[in-house]
Amino acid sequence: MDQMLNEFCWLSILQHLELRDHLALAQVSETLHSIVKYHWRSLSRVKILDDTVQRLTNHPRGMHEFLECASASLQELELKNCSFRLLRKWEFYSFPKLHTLDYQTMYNEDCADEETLLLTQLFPNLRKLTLSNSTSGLHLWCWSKLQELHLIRCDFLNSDLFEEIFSKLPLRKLTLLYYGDDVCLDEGIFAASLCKTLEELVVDDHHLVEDCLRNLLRLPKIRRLTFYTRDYCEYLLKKISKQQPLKVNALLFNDSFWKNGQVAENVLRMLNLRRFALYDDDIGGNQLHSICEKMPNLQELYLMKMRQLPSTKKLWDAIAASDALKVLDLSNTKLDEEFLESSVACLEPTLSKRSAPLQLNCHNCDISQERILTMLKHPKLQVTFDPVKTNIWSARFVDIEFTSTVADLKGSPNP
Amino acid sequence: MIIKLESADKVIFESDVSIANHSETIKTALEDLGDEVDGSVVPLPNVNSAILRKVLHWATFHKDDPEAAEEIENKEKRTDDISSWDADFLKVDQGTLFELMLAADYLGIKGLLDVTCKTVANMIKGRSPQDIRETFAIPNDFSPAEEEQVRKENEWCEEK
Repeated sequence: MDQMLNEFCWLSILQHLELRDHLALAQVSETLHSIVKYHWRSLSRVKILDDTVQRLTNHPRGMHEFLECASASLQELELKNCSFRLLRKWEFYSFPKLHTLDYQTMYNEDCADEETLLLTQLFPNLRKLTLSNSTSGLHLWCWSKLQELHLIRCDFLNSDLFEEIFSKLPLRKLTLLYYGDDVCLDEGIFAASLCKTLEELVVDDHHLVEDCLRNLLRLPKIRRLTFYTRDYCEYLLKKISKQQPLKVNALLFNDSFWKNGQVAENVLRMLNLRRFALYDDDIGGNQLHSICEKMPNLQELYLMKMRQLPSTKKLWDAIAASDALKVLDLSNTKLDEEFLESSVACLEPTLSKRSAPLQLNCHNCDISQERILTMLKHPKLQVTFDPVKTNIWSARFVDIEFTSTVADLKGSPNP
Repeated sequence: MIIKLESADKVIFESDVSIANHSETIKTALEDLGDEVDGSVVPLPNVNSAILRKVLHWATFHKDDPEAAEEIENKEKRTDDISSWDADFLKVDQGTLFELMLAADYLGIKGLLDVTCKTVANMIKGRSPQDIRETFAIPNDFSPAEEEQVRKENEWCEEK
């Protein structure tokens, strides 16, 4: 077979295979060995996961061949559960183009900082790092070009080092997640407000309960705050609604709104809200009506994968209360015949007075597209079925987008 | 408009130009013919009639597919998204599968090349070198010295 297919076909096949399979093919025949090495020389991304790490450990010749060919071209690397001992063998190679690293190891407190130092030496040009190991944070500042730092389940972080990290790195995006249920990193997170380049922060909610939130919201470039929430959703929304309500441009609640009246009250203070989204959540009919009625700039309303929608009449009444609304998205929410039949009577009173048509998007709503199109007809309704790109990266979180410039706030009502 | 295609074994196929244009090679040939396209025959000396028939069958079924977006170079591509029609279409012997892949390459039909590559990749995934040799009847052409080197290295690793 290796003679039957030409080199181009083999190179196309190799693009569909992982490194583990490349290594196996390289041992099949001399011809395939050469083609695999040729492919490696132009490889820009690779995932080296547990079983492949094991294979590289057991077949050092394969590992050295791979690194010899690929190290100069690699730009993105995902490396999981690589031993420190194996990593040290990579010191013979240089990775000048590598800018993105996703590095995960299991518990390794004894050598974690030594490991970080080695990583800074192997991959000095990183711009994006996702780290999940036992790092204390030592040496992280050596990556002077780092723009994105995602520390996930780094249980041994030392917050005393944060000031050094955040004052030296030109970070645009920072993630500190799933760290210390009983630990409040507030002072540590406070150090993040030294990072004037920061645009996006993702963090567990309990690290934000003290005063650092005010400073974070004042960062000149901050445009997104996302917090994984267990207990402090209501508390944090209240603080934001008092400190910077008009900077809030968009809100996404994933399993965290829960018909909470206090949260709804806080949302109502964010008068520049343009996009309001719920995912896998609940909202009361009156709450939805108030949000639609009182948010003068609300243009997009997403009620996705809802556990329960407000009654059909209340939903359409809420839509009728907002002339600015352009999009209602019910994707992944289960709709039924009753919803369609009840909606028919609501369309005319809801839509007839609108100045512009409303787009209703119903991707994957558990009822046929033909049926929806047959039932929901109105000159001012445009029904679509487009998939929605939503980044649901975890259970229970709140995602807040801010306007960051004076220009963004033009036309906004006074507080 | 109907055009004529001639396979390597001199069989003439008639095809709608919109279907044939899925092939970059045929499209270029038609552009070269210009006004003389009517009544002309496009020779395809690298594809035999049995494979060309299958290729045209595939292209007819996929005639309304949107043009594939340019994929990011070198990104590892999925292989679990083969449609059931394509999976049935490619239930053929290995020789035919490889000939289809070569024809897709020669004719410049990206969609067909992609789906045949995915099918072969799925036959390789997770297999050992010896399994791959046996599945595809590939002779082991490493020199005895190279084989010995690999064997020794593996032995050394297993002992550790």
